[in-house]
Amino acid sequence: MIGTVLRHELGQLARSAQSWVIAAGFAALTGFLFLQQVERWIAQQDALRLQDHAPGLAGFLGVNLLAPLAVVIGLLAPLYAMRSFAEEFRSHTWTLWQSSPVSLVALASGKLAAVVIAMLLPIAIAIAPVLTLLPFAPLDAGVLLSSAAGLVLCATATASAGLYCSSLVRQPLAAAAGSLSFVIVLWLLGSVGGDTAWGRALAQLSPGQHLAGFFQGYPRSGDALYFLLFSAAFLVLTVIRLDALRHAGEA
Amino acid sequence: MCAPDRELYSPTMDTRGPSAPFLLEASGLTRQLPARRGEPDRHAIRDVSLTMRTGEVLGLLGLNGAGKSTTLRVLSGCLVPHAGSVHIDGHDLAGEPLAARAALGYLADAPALYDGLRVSDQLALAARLRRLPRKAIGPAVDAAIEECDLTKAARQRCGTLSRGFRQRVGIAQAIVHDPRVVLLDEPGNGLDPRQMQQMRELVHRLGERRAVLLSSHLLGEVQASCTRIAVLHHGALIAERSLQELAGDGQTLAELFASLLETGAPGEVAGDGRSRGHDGHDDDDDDGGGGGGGRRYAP
Repeated sequence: MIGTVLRHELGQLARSAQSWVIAAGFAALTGFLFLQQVERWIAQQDALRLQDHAPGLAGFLGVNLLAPLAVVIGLLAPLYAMRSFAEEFRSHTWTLWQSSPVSLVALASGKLAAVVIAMLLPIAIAIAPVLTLLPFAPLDAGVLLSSAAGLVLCATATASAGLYCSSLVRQPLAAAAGSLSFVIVLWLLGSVGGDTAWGRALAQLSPGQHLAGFFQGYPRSGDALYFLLFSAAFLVLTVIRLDALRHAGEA
Repeated sequence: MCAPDRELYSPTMDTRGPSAPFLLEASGLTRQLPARRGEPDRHAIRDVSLTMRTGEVLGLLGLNGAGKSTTLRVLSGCLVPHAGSVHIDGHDLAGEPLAARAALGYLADAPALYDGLRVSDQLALAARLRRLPRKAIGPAVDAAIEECDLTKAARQRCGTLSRGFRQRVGIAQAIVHDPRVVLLDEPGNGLDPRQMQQMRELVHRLGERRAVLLSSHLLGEVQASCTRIAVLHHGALIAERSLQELAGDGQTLAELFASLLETGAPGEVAGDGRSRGHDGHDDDDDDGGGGGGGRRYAP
């Protein structure tokens, strides 16, 4: 049944002009940043030649191109997820799902999977320019793979937060505003805490703190676990919220 | 109609009459409204009990806010009752929700249609959600389109359809998986007289092999479509009779309805003999978030 939900949701996302506009805007931003970083790489060749452990091209672009793009991707995922439930409530299509023999877990999982699959397009847009350098320079496949994994995990986590916000309201824009605010605050936790014990503990909640290793080519299992737990927590919250709707009769 | 997955929709017994098993059995359904300070408990529906067998078409009558839509939403599983139980085709809606909902077709007061989908795609989605096998989906969609006279609109997007056509697509969506129990909330909404006649014929056909429960505030529609009526007033079921019994009493449906609402007294109950009281409370919006407002009683 997850497959049915996934297929329907992907169709809805593909039919939405907003998905394509977001992807196009992201492609323009990626192209600009990519050219900027390649020029910077060329300009720094003399300095890099003097370093003992100078980063390779993939490592350089991982840290200087893909890491900043991860923030953007983390903010785009809630935009893709904002219509998941809010639009169903608004257009009265929610009763179709409520009266169908579909479990809430399958429904929420299918919708999340659809958003993550849709997010593969921006992620591919982020990785593709780096791959175009392959004929001209050696690239570290490991760094690129771990960077891609980091982007997917980051997108999944923030998409799940967006999905939950979408289940709370009837207006997709309100869902987007709520989830974007949440993700931004969470991201800022990584830098506002300072060097106190509390600050360090708060920083651990920030996705940014758990992404660095992926772009340096040294992903840690703890970081991957953080994103998986983050996604699972919001998926569970979404299921609880949807179940509460049957009891409250709000939607 | 189509022949869907019989594993999911295995008929309990296809016999009719008093000895046939109940396809729909609702007992003591109660749904409270959010409490207001200083006011006694208010109910959208209170102690509503219904039973239906194959071949029955039950019309749920009531004024606006009587609790018709809430009752249907509870029976469809969209709303959880605060008390009572629902069994559909032998499956407890609370204990086996997926099996119970698989045996059910539901048309809500606002048809659940995606504006961007073509009618045939919308029906195929509904069929997939109702777990029809892949091979059965095409024939089931074609049969539902034919049944609801939607052939000309099959390739149109739902967003471009008139209200009457949307209603018919909603009905097609409710029956595409050949359910044992069909719940129709105000199926005549938005239909012109010709479409209304077609809808009545459709309900008759549906009722031949299924249990059909339709809610309406139009007495003529109920009289023409149903074999039995139940009257809801202030959330309580105050009468339940077959149209045959009514004819035997020499009473018209309009007369019965008017007298029941005038007295507000508990009515006679046909079938299982349980009586339902009228709680006498006053509320102006009893649908618990589900009902459509603004309609008026029309004979």
